[in-house]
Amino acid sequence: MKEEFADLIVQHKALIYKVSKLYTNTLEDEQDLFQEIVFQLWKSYSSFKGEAKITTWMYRVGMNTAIASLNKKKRAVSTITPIEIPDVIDDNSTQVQENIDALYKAIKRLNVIDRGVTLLFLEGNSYKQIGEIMGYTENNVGTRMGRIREKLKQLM
Amino acid sequence: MDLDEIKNQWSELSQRVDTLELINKSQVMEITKEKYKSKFSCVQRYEGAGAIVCFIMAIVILLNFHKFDIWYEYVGGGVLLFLLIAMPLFVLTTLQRTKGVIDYNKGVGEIAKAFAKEKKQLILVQKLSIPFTVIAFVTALPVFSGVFDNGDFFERMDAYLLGTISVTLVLVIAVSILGYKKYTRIIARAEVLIDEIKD
Repeated sequence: MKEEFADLIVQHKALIYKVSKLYTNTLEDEQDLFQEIVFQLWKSYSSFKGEAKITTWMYRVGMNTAIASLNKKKRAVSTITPIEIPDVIDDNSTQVQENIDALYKAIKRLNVIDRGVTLLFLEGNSYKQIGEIMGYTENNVGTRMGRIREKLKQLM
Repeated sequence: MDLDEIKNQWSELSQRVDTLELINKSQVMEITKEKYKSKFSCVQRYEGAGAIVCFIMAIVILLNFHKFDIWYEYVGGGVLLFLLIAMPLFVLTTLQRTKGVIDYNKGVGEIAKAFAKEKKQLILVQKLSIPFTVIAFVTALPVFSGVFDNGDFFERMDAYLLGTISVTLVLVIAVSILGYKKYTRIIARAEVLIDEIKD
């Protein structure tokens, strides 16, 4: 089971990375949250019944962990496995770097729920799928997205 | 820049992230060995230990009920028995139910809605714990005086005993307030979610 889980995490590492990055402000917190999400996924793995898509379940656990960690001073996991998160930008394109920084900065200024909704939208999920992941109705997601569009327009 | 332009940039970013070596299998294996310390479980453990103490006290009172011979020992014994059994059960049941609500497999919105319902009971537990602890403490004095065959508690009352009781009462209230603050912190954390679902 551990092998299967490890394969799953390696396969969907980008999903965990994006959630971690959106809900933290420093690289250290990002690494901690990344690890915390992997651990919470492992804890919930046995109760995952396959009723939802694997990514739906991973987003749910990831976002719940991220939101729960926002007011925590210490990590819940007792030991630290060193995980080095490399920089996304490995070329010299300052324009791309600036755009991505501005993008993250703007999304991080949204409230915690809207941040999650935005991430799911940018990842290509429909309102219905976002609703399933977040536990909201499709209409609620639509209303939120309307507000988010306005806010992001002002912020960027 | 509108959301559709952002979406294009996002997809560019996603392609880059996919190429990163973020974690390998052995690191995942290491993480699965780690131990988890839940603050909620910590509160539950304290409350569980407190409940065991309460139940032992209740058994002691029940076994010694025949020793009571003054009316207020009977009344106090009855009240204290009720508090020692009902309060821990109420607290533990509430904590267990609240813990059950915080299921990471569910969506954020579902958890927030369910927690909003449980919050009422959790707040009630907070509010009742301090006065009930004080009532239990005050009631316990004549009752345990009767249990240990020390005669009429109020006849033995002197300045030294009164001073000791007062100091102990202050300590009991201080511990209750600390417990109250712990609950408040747990609720405040969850409140982040509840407030945002109201939007």
